[in-house]
Amino acid sequence: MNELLAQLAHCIEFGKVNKDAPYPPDMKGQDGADELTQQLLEAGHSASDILSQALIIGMEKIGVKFRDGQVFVPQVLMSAKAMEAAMNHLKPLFAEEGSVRKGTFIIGTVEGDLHDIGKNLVAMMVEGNGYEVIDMGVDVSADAFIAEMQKHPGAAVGLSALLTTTMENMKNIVAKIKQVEPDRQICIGGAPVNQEFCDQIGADSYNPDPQGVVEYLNRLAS
Amino acid sequence: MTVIQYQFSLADFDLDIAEIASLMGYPRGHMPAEILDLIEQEQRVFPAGQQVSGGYRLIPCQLAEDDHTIRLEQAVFAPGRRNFKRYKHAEAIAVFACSAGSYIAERSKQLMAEGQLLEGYVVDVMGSCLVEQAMNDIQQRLKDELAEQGLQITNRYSPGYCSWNIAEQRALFDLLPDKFCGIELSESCLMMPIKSISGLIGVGPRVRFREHSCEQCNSTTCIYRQTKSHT
Repeated sequence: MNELLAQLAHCIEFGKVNKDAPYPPDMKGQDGADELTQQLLEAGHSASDILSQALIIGMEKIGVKFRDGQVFVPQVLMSAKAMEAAMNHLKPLFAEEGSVRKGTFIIGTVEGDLHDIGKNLVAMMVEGNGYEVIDMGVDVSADAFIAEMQKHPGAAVGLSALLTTTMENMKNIVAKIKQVEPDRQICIGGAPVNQEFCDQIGADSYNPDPQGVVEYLNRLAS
Repeated sequence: MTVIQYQFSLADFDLDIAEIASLMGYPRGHMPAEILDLIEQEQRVFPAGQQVSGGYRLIPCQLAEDDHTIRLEQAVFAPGRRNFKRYKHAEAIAVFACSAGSYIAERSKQLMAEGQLLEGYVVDVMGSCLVEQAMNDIQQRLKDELAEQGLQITNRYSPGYCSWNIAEQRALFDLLPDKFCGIELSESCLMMPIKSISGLIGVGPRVRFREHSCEQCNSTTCIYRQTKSHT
């Protein structure tokens, strides 16, 4: 693997945003995701190569560490910051290159619920793994999800809920989506949700962590 | 209705950094320096005049062993068998609520909306810690006052935890003054401001306070369960 790509993947994994960033302390003064991405582009690498050979690798590593309890939410969010610094260079180039993302993922916190940290974490991990993410925010109704789905045929839908009361809204949203499009893939998550609930309401996938969502989407994309 | 209420200045609040680290999942002393810097940075801009407020109302209770319910005036709570046991021997209940106020929630929301997810998350956890810490203080005062009368208290338990239906918060807030501590309930029983807590504390000469109670709860996803001080 190209040394620069490996360095960028390392920056993503450890949340090194740019040269000025003092964190992580053992990388102080070194180039970060911002500079390395620029250098890779100048060296002739395509945006999609940088995404697949560095960003996705770094994000996957941090996702697995998070699932295994080796790192915590703040470290994942630091990786997200580094990834964002790299993506700022790449996003304008994806359209120019005509590069195809792995898929599209529509995500939102269900109607009645305003919790968004878990949803944001999933959105960011999915984006970092090469998907286009449509983040609909919090308190999202079934109609709003369906309207967005119609703009993105084939996109998987992710529903998040943190309250036992809004699990009922999740159930209704799944039912309405499946009524309109029985084959539309829906995954669910959130503190009170589990596999049993997922089976009960007819959703397609339950994942207790962001990496699980990435792996589910990867299976759909393969 | 006699209601005891306390207020704490947000700007002067002595946040427990170790507890914040613990809520984030870090073992003591292992929180990255960047996070500590962010916490201190946010604390420095806490606006003056913002209050953290909380309080309680003491109400005599009737416990029904057969259906595991607690009657407080006209309200009947069904906290579930496991929670009910914790109130065993209670003669009164302190119905409590506490809120970190609107600033923290709005600040976290603003940061998230600006794409500063890490900063927004840190403020969110600071809010969780703040409201729990304020309620710990209030609970300690209640404990000390009741001890003078030979009474003890249980831990505080809340609808939404350990299989207790969160919808019972409606009945809980009906027992408190309107918009107590500035808290309002949404249709889905979400407390607004979002960094608010509510629940019931058992009171009586024979009730027990448990140092650690997570092992009696079957929730595997509660954030407090993952912290060292709550396992």
